[in-house]
Amino acid sequence: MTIPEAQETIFNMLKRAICESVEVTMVNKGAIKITTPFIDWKGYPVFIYVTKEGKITDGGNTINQLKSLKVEVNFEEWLFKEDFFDRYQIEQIRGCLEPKQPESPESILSYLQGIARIPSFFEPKPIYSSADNFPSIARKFAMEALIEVYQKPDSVENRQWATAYIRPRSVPLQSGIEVHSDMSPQNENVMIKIISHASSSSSDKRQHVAYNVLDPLLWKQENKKVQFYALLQNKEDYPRDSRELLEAEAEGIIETKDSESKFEIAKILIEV
Amino acid sequence: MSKRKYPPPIRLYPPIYEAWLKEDPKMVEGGPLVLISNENTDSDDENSAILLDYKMESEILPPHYAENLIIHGHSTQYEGFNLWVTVIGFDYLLMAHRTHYGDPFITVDGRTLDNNPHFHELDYYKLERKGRPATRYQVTDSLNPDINSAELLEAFMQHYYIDDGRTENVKLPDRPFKKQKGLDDYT
Repeated sequence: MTIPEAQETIFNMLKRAICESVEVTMVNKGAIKITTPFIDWKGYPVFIYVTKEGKITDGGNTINQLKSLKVEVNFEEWLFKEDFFDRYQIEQIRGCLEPKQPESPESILSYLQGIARIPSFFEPKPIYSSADNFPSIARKFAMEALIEVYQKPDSVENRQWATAYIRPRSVPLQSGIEVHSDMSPQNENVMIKIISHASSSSSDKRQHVAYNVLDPLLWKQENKKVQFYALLQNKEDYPRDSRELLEAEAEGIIETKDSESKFEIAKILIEV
Repeated sequence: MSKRKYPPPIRLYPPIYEAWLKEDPKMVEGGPLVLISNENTDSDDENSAILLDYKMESEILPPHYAENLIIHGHSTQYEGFNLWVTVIGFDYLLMAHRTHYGDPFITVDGRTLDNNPHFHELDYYKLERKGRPATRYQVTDSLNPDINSAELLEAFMQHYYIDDGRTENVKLPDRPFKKQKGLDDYT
């Protein structure tokens, strides 16, 4: 086939650019890292390692990444897995992906294209459940409350001012243990606990409430001035015995569902 | 037939990215961040760790970035632990590498370093390859070559104001078992 000169120039330029973008680096344990022009799901170049014994491997990169994105189970149960591995000449050896025919350049190229594609088949599952999420929501709520109640303009400086009050605080006790407040009120004898897990099972809720009541109880044994406040979304979300425990031990329960709660939490953080 | 109109997305212009780097706090949902062990491939490496992906908040990034922002991390057998802040459906915005192999690199404050832990920021002011932002290396005082994965995460969170509500320092993961290295292990 004869290609006209203008087109051949572009073809040669592209071929050279692709070849020149393959890079090699010496890495740990005497291995080399070969970086390719392919880009993975997060915009980072796809790479493989070659060990000092000449074995080609991804060094656990693909499967460890799937674990971190919490999609390893989806990958293991992926109905196309066997066909995909066959088509792209991939072999799974313990936690690493290796080429099936390491002596064949075509097979290695298929392997590279395959490992480049795998993570993009699975949507990452960030930790983002309502049970886990409430502490962040509660802190944001308290920050907005401080800015609103104390009528400060919503600026970076004022958010930093408010952040100092919504950070967790540790209190070392004379007994040697440390107790923790989920926020840092102006009054050093005040402890605020964020009660979350509203959508968890009843036993989890009981355990969570009991665990959070323990810190103020321990602190009160050493310091009679301690005041404990619980911040939660809705008291009715918790079992009756947990509600009674909170009512017995806490100086106040602030429910974010109430219209007055912003005012209450702001006052506890600054003025109690 | 009239075409449905969507509001144009706000692009991630350099000043927005730079303001996001300084955003304080960057809250993590469902925290605190915990490193877990990888019992499969490289449990003989004390620094091997996995950070499950957590959702991060931002009030500065455009909504389509902020709504899809995660922090995650994992190790490889030959380069150790790396951390990422990635936009799901797009590209990474920040990285932390425990190692650096290859040519020495120059930090943002002009130092030339070899194999040293470092953070990768994007440099939108210096576009490479006609469109992709270049990378710039940030090395803080706490990033010494002997740092472990937990210390890298701790330094990263501190430098970029990432707040996961923790009250204690990040710990290395507990190893569920130790690999047998020879018969001596059982004598």
